[in-house]
Amino acid sequence: MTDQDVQYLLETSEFQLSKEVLIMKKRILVVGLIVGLLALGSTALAYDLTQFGLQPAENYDFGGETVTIISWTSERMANYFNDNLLVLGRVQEAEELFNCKIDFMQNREIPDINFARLLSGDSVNDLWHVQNKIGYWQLVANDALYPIYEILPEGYYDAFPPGILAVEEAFKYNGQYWGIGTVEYRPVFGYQNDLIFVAYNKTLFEREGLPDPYELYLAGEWTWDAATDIAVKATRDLDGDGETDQWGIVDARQWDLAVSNGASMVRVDENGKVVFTADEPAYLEALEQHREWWSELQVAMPTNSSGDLKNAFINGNAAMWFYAGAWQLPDLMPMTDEWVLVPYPKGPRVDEHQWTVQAISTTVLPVNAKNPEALIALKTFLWREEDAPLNDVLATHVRNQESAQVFLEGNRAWSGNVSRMFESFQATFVDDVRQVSAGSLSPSAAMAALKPVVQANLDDLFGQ
Amino acid sequence: MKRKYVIGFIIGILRYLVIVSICYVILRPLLAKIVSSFMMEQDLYDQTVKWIPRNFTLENYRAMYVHMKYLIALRNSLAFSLLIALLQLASCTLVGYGLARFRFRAAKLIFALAIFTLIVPPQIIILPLYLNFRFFSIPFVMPKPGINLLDSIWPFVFMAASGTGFNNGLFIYIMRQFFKNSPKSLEEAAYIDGANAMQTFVRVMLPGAVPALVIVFLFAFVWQYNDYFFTGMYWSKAVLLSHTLDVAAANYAYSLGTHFRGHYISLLNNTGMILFILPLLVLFGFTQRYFIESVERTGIVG
Repeated sequence: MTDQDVQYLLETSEFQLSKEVLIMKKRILVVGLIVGLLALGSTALAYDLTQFGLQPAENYDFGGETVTIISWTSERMANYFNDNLLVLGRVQEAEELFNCKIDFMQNREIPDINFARLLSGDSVNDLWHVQNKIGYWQLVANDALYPIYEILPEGYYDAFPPGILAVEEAFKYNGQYWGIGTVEYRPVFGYQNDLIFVAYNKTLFEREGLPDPYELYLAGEWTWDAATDIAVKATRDLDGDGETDQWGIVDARQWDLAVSNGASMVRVDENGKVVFTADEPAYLEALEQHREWWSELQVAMPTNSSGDLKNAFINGNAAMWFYAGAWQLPDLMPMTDEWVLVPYPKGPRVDEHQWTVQAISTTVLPVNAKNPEALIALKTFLWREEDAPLNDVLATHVRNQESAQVFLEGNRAWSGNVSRMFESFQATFVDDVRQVSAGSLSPSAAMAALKPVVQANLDDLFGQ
Repeated sequence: MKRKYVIGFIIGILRYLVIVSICYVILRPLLAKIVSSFMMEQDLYDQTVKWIPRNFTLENYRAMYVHMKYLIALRNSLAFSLLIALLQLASCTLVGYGLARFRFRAAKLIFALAIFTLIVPPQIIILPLYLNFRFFSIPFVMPKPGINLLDSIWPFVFMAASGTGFNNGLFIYIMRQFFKNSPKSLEEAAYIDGANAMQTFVRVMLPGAVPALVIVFLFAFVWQYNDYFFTGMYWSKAVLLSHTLDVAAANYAYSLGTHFRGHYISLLNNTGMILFILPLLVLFGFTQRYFIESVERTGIVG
């Protein structure tokens, strides 16, 4: 084709027409994109609270008053909203829409500070972050919390990830919900940060020719017996000095093991009374299993120092770490050896793997809340599921596909089990179960002696 | 003679061994914290590293210095603790002297109540005090509902100045016992010379009470400096070292994107603790002689 031919083609009306169409299409595309972005922006500005059964954000009005968010992690929450791109400017946006000032009050003295603010009348615009170990039971048992179940919109919890409802189920008191979902200081909203896994050192397993727990888990054969066999083979004196240098198990905790056998330390009976149930056979079996690992077979590293136990695993001196909580997984990232997550092995009384957490947290309102629905809306506006992209969560918690699957399965399947729901009697309980593991007390004798003490504590806590 | 010398020498060595062993038990945690404060994170995972860091760094100090807002928080903590300690010293000394030297109705009851405050857990009184300062009023002067003194220094000033601050029952006890054991002839001589009670107290009794004053001041200063419970309740927004230490490590670790690395945070906390206690160590270094002498003379050791 000569230059003249090209010039001819460019000047023909057909080509000019197609050129105009093309330009028009481009313009439409650009306008469409701008409209789309604006629509997206406006959606982001007015986060849809109606999906939770609430009114649109701008319908709530605090009249310019200060809303105080009290937590032992409040300062980190404030930093999270200032430093994280995904939530940058949200606090200011909420202050504008809800016509309020938001104050993050860092305080360790929970529930003292909550009771003090309640009695002084300063808590009318408060949001209180609490945990099963930090204030929740004292506040709820002393009628300090607003009965949100009276005003909570139908299906409020359904719009959240399932873990949120599981937490509120576990926190039920007098058969009612008291919490409106947790708050976070990092992008993990909707994931259970205290979920407990077993981490195993895959490099060590391959070196020792041990059966792979993940494969056993997939085959439905990941049980206490399988874990025991592996632990026995993995526990070794590597340098022949008569001392064990490589442990099969580190940091298995009796109360977590009990949950993996379908047992629970306490339960709500048919009369609504919270009763001590660690003397039931399933719980006693877990204590017995722990004693076997600790004293009889000596495959569990004999210390209760959690730092030393974690270090033993990180340094490659332990095959399986039984206290790999989700919050601890970032600690494993610098490990040289490859590691994989699996759930707790199944006890003899269960067919499915049981999941447990070491603590749960939620947000509650003071009983004198002036505008409770607005407080619920504000909290829902500030912390959203979309702020924790799946890829980011996985990138900070796991290193391989197997672990990712187990991590997600745990979050999906956890149904509200908490190994140590009440802390008021923990010191006595921990001392006694450690004596059981050391072989100086039998499980049934220890629990029989503990039962009246713990039950009295529970009765006192709940006034039952 | 030679045998006696050898036995004495062996006993001396044994004595030093015992002292060093006890010191080691006490100092080991502190030494471990000091050493780890100079380590990089990877040293924590290296089992060959025990006492000598492989990767020496001052980065932890730099980070904690910034995130603890060290200079501002230190200045505030020192000024605050100094003011409160001086006020407590003044009020408790006066009360202790009064209880030791003057006979009046209910003197024993007041002393018993002062001692009683020592056995009442602070959690019991924290709520009434909170409400007191939230709606602070003075009959006939400041009508109810009063003013809000929370989130200010005033609750601490009022408590310290009235001898009702943290552990003030103990300070009153120390001062009372000290004055009670002082010779009365000194005061009698002052009275004969025409001095009134206050002049006698200030010019005659106080100069002789230096050991007790030192011990009360040091205790008051250190306890106020370390306190989180009361300042957390009544002045949670204060920029004090006990507050900034509480959150600095986690804030910094999180700002690095390392999320919740417990090990790294504990390493930073160790560093923060060294920075926190450093002024107290310096203070103790200067006052050690007076402190030990005072403890002996006031009979606190029993």
